[in-house]
Amino acid sequence: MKKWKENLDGLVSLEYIHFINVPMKESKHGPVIDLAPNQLEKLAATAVIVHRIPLRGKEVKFLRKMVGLSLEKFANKLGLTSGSVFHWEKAEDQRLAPVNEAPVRALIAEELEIEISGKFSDLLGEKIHDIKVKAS
Amino acid sequence: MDQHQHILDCLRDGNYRVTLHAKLRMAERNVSHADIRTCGETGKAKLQSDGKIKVTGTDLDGDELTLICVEEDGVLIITVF
Repeated sequence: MKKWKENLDGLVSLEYIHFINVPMKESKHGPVIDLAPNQLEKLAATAVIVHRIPLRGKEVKFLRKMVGLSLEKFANKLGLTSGSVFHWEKAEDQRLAPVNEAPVRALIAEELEIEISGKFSDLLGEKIHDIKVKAS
Repeated sequence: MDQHQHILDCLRDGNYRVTLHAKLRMAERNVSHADIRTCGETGKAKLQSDGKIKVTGTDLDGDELTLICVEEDGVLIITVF
């Protein structure tokens, strides 16, 4: 069976994440991504936290789903209603207020077991930029 | 074991692979691994006339999710909608 590696965009919902060396293999139904199902999502989520990408509605939705929390469970962990989180996510391009961004980043980092500084300013994003993520 | 139940079990347990097409569709629709697992847990599988299995269930937030799968070297998701 033919196997190869490819650089690919559009594999997660965040347009600035570009995957490098994605292992692929042939199948009767077209090319298959030859990785554990959540591996690319986990790499992308880690990049968002480590690179301090500002958290907008689309990042919140992607990160929440990556860590496997429903709207309700995620909101409960933050002491909010699911409606509040729903409204954040609906406003895809709107950045969260610092008072919300800091705990969301801290919560996702904890769920992904990433060590980050607890300094308030370090919990806030800096600037959206393209990120190349090695898939293998 | 019933083939339909086997597919649902594999999806629920995260034992599946995705085609490039399915992964691109998942990104467009913001469908995550957790959504696929939830769909395997909540869904029903049905054999289509083309031999593929259609799984209809819900995602993490209770919204409807449909997966088209085949058994080829394990469970392979061909598309999602």
